[in-house]
Amino acid sequence: MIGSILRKDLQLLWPMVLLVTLIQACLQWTWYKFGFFGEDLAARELLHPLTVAWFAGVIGLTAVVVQQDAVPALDQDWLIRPLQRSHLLIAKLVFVALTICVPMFLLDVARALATGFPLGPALAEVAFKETLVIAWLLVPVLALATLTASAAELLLLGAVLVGVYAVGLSAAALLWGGDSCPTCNTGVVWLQRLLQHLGVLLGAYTILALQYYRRRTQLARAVAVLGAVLLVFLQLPWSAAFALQSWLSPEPGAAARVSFTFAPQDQPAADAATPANPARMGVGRAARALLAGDLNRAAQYLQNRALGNAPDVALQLPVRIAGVPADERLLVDQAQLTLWNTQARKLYSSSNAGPLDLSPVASGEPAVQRLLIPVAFYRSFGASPLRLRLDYSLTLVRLQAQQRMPALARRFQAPSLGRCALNLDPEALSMSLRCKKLGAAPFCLSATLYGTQGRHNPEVLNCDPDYRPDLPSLTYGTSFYGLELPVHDRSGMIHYPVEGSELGEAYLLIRVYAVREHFTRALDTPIKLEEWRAPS
Amino acid sequence: MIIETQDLSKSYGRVEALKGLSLAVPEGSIFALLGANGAGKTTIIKTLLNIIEPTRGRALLLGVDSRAIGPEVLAQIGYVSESQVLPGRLRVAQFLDYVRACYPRWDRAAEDELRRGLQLPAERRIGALSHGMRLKLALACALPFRPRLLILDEPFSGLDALVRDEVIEGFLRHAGETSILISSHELDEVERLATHVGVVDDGRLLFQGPLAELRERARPLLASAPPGAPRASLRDIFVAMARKARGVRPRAEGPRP
Repeated sequence: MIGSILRKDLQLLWPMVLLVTLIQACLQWTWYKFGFFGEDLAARELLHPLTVAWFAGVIGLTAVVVQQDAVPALDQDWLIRPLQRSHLLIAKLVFVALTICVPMFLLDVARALATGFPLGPALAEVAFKETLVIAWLLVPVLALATLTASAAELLLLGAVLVGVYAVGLSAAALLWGGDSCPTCNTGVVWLQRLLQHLGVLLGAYTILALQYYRRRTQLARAVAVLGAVLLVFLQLPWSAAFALQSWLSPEPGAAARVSFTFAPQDQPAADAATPANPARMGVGRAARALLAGDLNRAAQYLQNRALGNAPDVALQLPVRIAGVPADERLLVDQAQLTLWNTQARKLYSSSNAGPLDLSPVASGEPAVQRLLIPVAFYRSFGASPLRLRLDYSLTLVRLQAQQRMPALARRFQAPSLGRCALNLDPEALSMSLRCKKLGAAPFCLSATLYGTQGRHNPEVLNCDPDYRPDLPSLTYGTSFYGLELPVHDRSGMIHYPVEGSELGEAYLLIRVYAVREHFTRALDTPIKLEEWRAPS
Repeated sequence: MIIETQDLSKSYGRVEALKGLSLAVPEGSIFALLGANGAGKTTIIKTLLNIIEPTRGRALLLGVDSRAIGPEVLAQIGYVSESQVLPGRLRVAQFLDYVRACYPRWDRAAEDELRRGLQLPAERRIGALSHGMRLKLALACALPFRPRLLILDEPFSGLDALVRDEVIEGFLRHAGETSILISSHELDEVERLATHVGVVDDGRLLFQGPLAELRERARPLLASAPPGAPRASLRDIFVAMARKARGVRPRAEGPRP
């Protein structure tokens, strides 16, 4: 019976299947033509609209095939036919797999081969990606489509769910500020996303079961709305997320010798620069931050505005860090600040203490921990003896691989980097490195341009912590990453030892870092805040 | 009994569509469910087929609780409805191919005969068929597996007299021993077919039994008919019963000629 339903749906929907396949083919072709630097202007222009069209087509086709035998309607032909409901559901899933995933799989593999990746790894990676597309996108869309009988109803339901989600986000941001999403904008956010995807998948299966086996549309719609609310409010606490990430560390105990101590004798030099203060920014900034996907910052703006918060006071604390080997690096995932009075009563706590500047560590100096304290609190307790505790969540990364390439090499490949290309901009102001890789992209890499006689430009470090295992994007199977290296400053303010004219003999040293261990350290010290105020 | 309901009730919010309805359809009968628009006929049928769930009471269809009917029971039931949604982009032959695969006891020769008899154009898209043709197609899908029970929900609605006759002839010729439940407010057609009648008004069952018994029962309601007037039609009986149920005085002029 599955075959008959499938054949009927294909007879009904083949024009749409053809259209979606065409969109998929165009998208893959555009990705291919985009190359490493968007050399093809048409491909650059078409990439975004085609990606949107791909989403619309894939979602539309999935919804339409379900609605051919709509579940909530009362006059559908399938209701009076002797069909096993499981057969109907399987037929819909098979249709989606055959008409969306199989062409996508073939096109993805073809593009990976055209890019130069070997067949075996390309097959494995693309198959994994298609599995994620089914589980994270198509099954949830299929479930939502069972709640409606027409495209208009589906659009309305989608709008309701997006509305519920947006209201939930706003409420969470106003109530809890940056704490409404403890893992956002950190390397462990993938755990939260994974939890959300699993929750969505569980919700989708619940809806499918309710609809196909019980036809409980109202209850299933309530499950969908509840799911949208839970997506906002069910957040993984930072401590749990980082503990889980630590447990996944590839080399447990590697950071055992790393120590943090407060170094009051090494008071840092005055620094006039004070970071932009979120409290001074309004709703416009919050909206811009939201559009940029920075939920924490947007939430902070909104909360500060709602509470009428005054500007913060910046402090600078010297922190001596020891036990980090020379070719390894330390990444600060989070620094939580807590202040107590002498009676051990907690007075203040913040999950985002401020940035830790590690650059002095290389020259044997202590690192500088900047703290942002609300001015009202500072006025009340600045002169009081307090106890300060900084809880650091840290990651130790080691040099995993390094690759030396002539600076003017146009294309090269390396196992740790994938297939890469270098490009010098027409004015010889900067070099771009772009790489495509099967599987996860390295989240921390650096590049240094070396000239003759050992001269070199400052190392460019691109460390954007992302500790997820290989979880590819839904729209393409390969990772795409890179960095920019300035080689000339037109204003003449900065002089680079190796400039564009010397690139013929220069080479590029690319270093890739990999995680050794995620771990925590704490600093606990008596303090008087006014003694550590950074000059403004 | 091929269909039996006990205290069957269905509410949509505060609106009671069915009010404790107990119905019994004998096997082998042609049972006409009569009622005005909105009386609850379609709700009864959709509850029987488990398309909607009753609020209270239960229904047995071929001896199986309607809530539990599965493919085995549905494979013995033919269904034709004026509101049935058919896939408009499919061709007639493609749709028959699809439906045929659903029924293990499908008789291909019967299908061909029906298709010829009802003059169904195999290559025409369903969306391009007239209302009458679509009903004929639904009929051609409901009979070739020789169902034990045929349910017809307002099958004559919107059909001209010629097509009505073709449809009626079609299912009478092929129905054989099949029990038929037919819901309609087209009383003249039903009168030609029915052996048993159930009269529904405002979600309640006013009468059920053989047609002859209905005539007998309705006689007091039509007492004002002048002597020598023609026999009361089903329409007159139905109107009189409905009026009585709603507390409206019977009309004095008697049955229409």
